[in-house]
Amino acid sequence: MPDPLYRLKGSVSGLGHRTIPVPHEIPYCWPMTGFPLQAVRSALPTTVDLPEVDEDLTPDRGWNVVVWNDPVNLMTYVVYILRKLFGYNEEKATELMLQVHNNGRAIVATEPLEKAEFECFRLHRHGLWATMEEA
Amino acid sequence: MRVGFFPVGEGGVEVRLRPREFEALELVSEILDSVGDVETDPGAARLEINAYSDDEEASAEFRRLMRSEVEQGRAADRSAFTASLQAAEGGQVTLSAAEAEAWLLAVGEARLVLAARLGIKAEGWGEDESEVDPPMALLHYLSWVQGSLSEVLLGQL
Repeated sequence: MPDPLYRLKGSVSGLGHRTIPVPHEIPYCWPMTGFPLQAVRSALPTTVDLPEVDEDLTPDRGWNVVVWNDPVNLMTYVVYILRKLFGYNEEKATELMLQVHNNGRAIVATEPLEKAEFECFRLHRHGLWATMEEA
Repeated sequence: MRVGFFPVGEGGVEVRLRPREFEALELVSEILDSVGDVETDPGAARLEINAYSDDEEASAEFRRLMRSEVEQGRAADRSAFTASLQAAEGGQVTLSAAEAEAWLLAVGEARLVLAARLGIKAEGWGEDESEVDPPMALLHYLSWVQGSLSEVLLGQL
């Protein structure tokens, strides 16, 4: 005798033609209740109310540490500080320094809040203009 | 004698300067000592930390938490810088890696204060070296110190 559950596959309303994996060993389910398939179909929800998610539960994308252009610190100095504080190689540090110089700002790191605050503090200690913003 | 900054040992820097340059560097401490109130001193305002560009309240809290560490760090840089200036003999002094960092930070900070007080707000100020105004001449000299020292320290990374 063919498994009655087999009929659920591929044709459930609102779910398109995807094959729905149906376990073969569930002892009690609709075939046992005697409801016609159509009754089950019409009772299937087409939309689902998702619970409201508290903002704090969204994944933490971290904080961007931004260095802003200033007309006083020399380019060589900025490159040195970026290399020293973040361990960037010469190419990366130079790229960031030029971004600061040409665009007025550059994201030099993205970190969890506490680490971002620490990096921001260190940049200020080295005389660079730095701020934090949510990534 | 070749004048300038030269790598020596493990991250150390040998400083060789003319007497007039040592005199100019003594002004660094004086500038840093003279930093006043943010309301009245543009130099102090420049050193003020604004960590959150669009949230003054959070920035103020950040400053409050960091204040003592910032002040202690700056004071330590300044005294290390001053001590090594005093240790110079015959126009020479050898800096440890830590002292070289202190020089870099103290000189950098003095440049920021001086430039803010001179009203420098845009690029291009450094191009005209014909300026004979003493504070501007000092700023140019400190630029040379910052650049040369940064080069040496970059070479030691």
